[in-house]
Amino acid sequence: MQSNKFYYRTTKRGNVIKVVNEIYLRDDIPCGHDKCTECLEMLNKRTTSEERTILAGQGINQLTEDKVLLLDTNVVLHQIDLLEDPALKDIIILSTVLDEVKNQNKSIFNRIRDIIKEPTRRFYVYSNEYSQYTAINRETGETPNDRNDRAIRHATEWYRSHLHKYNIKIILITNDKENLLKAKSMGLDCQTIQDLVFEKSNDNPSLVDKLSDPSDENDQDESKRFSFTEHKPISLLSEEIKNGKVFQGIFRTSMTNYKEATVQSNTLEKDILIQGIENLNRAVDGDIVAVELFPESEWKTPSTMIMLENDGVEEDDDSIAKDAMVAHLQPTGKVVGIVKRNWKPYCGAVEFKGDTSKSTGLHFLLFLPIDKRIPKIRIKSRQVSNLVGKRIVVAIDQWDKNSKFPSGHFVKDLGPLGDKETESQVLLLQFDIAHHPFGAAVMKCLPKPDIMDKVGASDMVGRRDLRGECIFSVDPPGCTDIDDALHVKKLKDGLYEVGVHIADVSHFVQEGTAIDEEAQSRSTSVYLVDRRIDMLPGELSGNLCSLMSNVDRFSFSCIWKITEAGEIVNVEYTKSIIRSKASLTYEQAQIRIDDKTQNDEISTNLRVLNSLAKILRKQRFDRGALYLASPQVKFKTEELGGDPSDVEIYQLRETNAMIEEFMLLANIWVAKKIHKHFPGCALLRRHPTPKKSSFDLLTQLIENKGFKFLTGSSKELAESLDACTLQDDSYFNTLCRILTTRCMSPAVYFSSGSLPIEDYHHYGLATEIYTHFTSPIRRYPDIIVHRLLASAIGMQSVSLNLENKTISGLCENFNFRHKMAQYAGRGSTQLHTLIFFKGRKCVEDAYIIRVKANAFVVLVPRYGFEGTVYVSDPNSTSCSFNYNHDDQTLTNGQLTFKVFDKVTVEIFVDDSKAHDQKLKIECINPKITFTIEQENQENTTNGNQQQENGKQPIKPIVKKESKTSAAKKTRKEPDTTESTIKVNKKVKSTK
Amino acid sequence: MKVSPSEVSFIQKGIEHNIRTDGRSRVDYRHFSLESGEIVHSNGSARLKLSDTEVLVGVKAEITQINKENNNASGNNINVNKRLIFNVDCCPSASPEFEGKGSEFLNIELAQQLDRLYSHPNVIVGLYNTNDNTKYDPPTATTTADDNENSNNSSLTIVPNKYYWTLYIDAIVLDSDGNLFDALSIATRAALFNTRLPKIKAIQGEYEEITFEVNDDPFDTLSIDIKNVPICVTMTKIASQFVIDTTTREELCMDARLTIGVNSSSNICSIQKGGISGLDPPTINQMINTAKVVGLKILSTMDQALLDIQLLK
Repeated sequence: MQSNKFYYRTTKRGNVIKVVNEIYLRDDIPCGHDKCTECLEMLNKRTTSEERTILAGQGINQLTEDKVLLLDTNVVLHQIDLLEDPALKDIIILSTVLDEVKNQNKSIFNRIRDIIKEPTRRFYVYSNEYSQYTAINRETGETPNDRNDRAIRHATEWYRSHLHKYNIKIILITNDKENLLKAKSMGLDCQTIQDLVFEKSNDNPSLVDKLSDPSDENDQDESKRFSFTEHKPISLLSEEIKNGKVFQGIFRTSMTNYKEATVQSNTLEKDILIQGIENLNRAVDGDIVAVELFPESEWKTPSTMIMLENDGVEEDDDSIAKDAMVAHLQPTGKVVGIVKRNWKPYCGAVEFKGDTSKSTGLHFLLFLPIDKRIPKIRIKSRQVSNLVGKRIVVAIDQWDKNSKFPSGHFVKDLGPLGDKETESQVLLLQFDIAHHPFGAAVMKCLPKPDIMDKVGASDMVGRRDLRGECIFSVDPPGCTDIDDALHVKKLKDGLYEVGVHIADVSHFVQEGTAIDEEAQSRSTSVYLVDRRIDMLPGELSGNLCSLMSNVDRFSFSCIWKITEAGEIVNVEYTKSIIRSKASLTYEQAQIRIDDKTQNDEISTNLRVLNSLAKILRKQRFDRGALYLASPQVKFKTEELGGDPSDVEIYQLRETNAMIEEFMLLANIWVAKKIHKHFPGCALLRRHPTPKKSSFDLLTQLIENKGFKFLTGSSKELAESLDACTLQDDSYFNTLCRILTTRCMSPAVYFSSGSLPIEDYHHYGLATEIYTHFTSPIRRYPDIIVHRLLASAIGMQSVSLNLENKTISGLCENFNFRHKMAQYAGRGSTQLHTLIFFKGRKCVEDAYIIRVKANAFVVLVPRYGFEGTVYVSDPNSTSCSFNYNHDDQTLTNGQLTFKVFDKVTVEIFVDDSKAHDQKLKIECINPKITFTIEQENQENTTNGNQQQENGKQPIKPIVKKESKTSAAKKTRKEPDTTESTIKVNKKVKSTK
Repeated sequence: MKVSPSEVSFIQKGIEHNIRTDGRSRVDYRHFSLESGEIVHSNGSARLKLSDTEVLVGVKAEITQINKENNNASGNNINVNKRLIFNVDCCPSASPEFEGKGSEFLNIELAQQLDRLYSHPNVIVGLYNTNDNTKYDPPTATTTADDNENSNNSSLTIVPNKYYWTLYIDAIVLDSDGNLFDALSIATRAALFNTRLPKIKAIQGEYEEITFEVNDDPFDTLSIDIKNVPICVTMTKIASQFVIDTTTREELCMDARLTIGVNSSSNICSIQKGGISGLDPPTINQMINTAKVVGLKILSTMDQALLDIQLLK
């Protein structure tokens, strides 16, 4: 039986066309219940036994119970967390429902699909739209919604009559009042989800908490007290956006001020500033919002600094405007509507004071997300004692216009607060790092594990056989994903042939395959202290691509002819096959170089490479490359996966620098090559020249110490940094380098077509052009560069997707993922530091790196972390110290603190607040005497939201979170330090 | 097809006696059947079967932008703003004469005939909402000074002086047993009646650029008011008499023919003469009067049938 469905849509060219889908209805779609003999007979009649075995292998679940639930779309959309609870079983999902969910919310669709796949849950999808018994056509004047509701009722009725003879009860679960009424009038059994959950709540109390709560009851009296402006409907918005009345953009809450946000609009050059809770109008960080601009006379300046450095913040927003006189005015507006919500599940902990054992009934709790840009969320719970002291995940359900906080529901319990496993999970969730196991589609793309044992002639086309060369790799101990290997050979005419061989990942990861898409979305491997989240499945990263010793491996080689003076006379790029002779560690390689008695081929080659590297390195520094530093530590654990037992600074050897040097060389030469062939769409990496003003403060501080500090060019800067040495303090130079690093913006990926050639410059490395080529196993940009290079040398046809626009889009994602991976790595280090200090009290030397009005920030070199030392009670406004902003000093007459001062501090874990443990640092030499009286109160001031009573003055002179986030912003490493980071991470990953 | 002289004489004699080879009188129409909405991909369609004559008409609506420069440059080129474009294709399967390039001239003649029939700017008086039969007011231009825009089928305007609907009317002659002109005109009218235009909303962007938004209910559409849409009735002079609804055989005996467009207000919308011999004024008057009577009868039967179809659906 055939029927047609049609609709009209606009085409890209602006025409309106009619689209017709032909639908062929079947009469043999099984109902999915294992008691139904009718459908089974039909199936046996229409299929052969072979087809049935295939069907059985597809994992279609059968319903078994006598009571079967049939869900309405709104239940799936709103109660997905509840549905994920294994207590709910035997559920029919209609294809109508599935399609509607897919259209409305992709992520819920994916979640429901995962549930459907789970055999124990017994969810069955019935294709009611394709069954001639249940398919219906939309009636004239019927809205799509009404049609779907009718389709659901129709299908329920069919099910009822179909399964009636087997005494199976079908219950329609819907929260749509109208649908409920209509279904009841048809004589169908139906319930709301609430009824169902309360029925089951005796056996499964957790179900109630997971119930999302779209509260219908409105307290009209209370609403007069506080109310946001109504959001405009989407239909109106889309028209106003198109004609330019309102602007659409992504809403970004300020890192340092929860009452301020910016919206970046495509049509406006500047970001739109939004200030004040009223104007933010319930938008949450990441939402796509519509913003209406105020007239220019009402434009304001960002108030970040004022909010932080003022003595107090008043409730009304006018104070912001009054204080902000200096900075530039920015377009200012207010949120008038939400185009698309970006609500995600958020990690955090609940705020609860009192005795948990006594709180048994239903409680309203405030949930504090870790991400300070997200507002507090109100949740309802019957199991307070289970939630307090836990890291939990909460999802926002809605934000009523009469409510100051959004309301949400409990989703998942991650584990106890402060637990290593739990907090690592939190980090991954917080920084949006995909850490799920690779899916079946991805694993299907993997080649057979023995593919490298039978390399055929077809694989060798265009590949150079370098298996005879003496190639070796140098990596940290225990490294399994070996990206790079080297060889060197002395040629007749006094030249050296040096080859860098990089794992040929693009050979296995073909463009457009599932594995390619997965790797592209992950963009990078993430290295936490105790684990590694791979970008590619282990089979590739740890075996087939890894350039291990004594096995044949495909590689992409870059081979130079270099004179003894380090001059490059010739370069050649080729795909190759290699057989590494040895996988060395940095330590082993260093010993071979130093031990003059070893004169085998590898050792002598290592020495040649080392001397060449030194020459290249000198050339690079002569050009003005910077040697920058950032504190890097390594955790020692006693057992695998155990808590850290010791922390040590990562040791850098000469061999680290040697490998780094050749990797840089390869990256630079590859960048030149791909830019020559693809000037409009080569993926490159640049490090912008920092603004002179960003060095102002540092220059002054260093000059206070009696050194000349020039920042005009990178060469001047490098020389100035070299000169900054103190006889009695060897760490001073490193400190200067660390602080310099923080004055610079990070290096970024970009597409060569999007910028003029002058801007390709890599400041830190002092090179005109740079890219990433050498780590395709753990970085996706390298894979693209490999493809570009392969096309450039004619090994591969040019991809159709090669456009400036697509590459630019990819770069944006890479930069973002790279940043997230770094944050997660740092978060993990912080976490392990915290765990390390639990139950320990250490006294260490520290250096002051920043001075604030009531505190200073110290860096502890021994452990490579930094923290705030308060010189007064963080909650009181009175401060016995005088702060001098110009000199960056704090003094109270007897004691003066200034940047670069060395102090002795005591470090311990402050666990007075269960939901927010942190490291506490106190200065003991010179000793500051003050007592922290109101430890508990600190949270109220640090919290992201204003308190309900609203009267309490909030005086965050230096907010804890603002400090850390500011540090994050400035703490960036240019590429010079990158290979050390990489090395470091590999060490960590092996733990 | 050819007819022998004796056959011609047989047909002529019969017509003189008001009895035709198939038993009809001179002003009898053959039975015909109409189906509509058969081509689902089109905006509207109809199929007409008139004895062995079978035609299929599809209507496809497209948004067209008025190109001002074009309009000015070619001054009186009426094609620029044409809103109904006709195309007729006679299938080779309908008759051996249509094979190869055989149907080329006929195709053009038929399309031209339809084009003339619809040439009056008020052929399509308006649109109405399909769901509730209420009149739909097309957007009108704020400035009326601009050429003859407003009078010219303005009901198909989307944005005054910028965008309008163009209806591409494609007819296929599947089989032929005479009277193609009439058959095509009836089928076209039915197809227009069946045509549904999506409701669209023009949104003006910041830089004057216009984008369209489609109503998401595929059933909430606009229909075309065919009140003024004419059909044609062909009067064929054979011997001293004239007949209507000729078969192929009769057409071969024809001296002259007059195709008269009539609408339901019994207005004459077009007159086209064909055939080699001449017609005297009294005959022409007689023909026109007969055409009006026949045409009105067809129109009223047809409208009733179309309404019935619509109600059934």
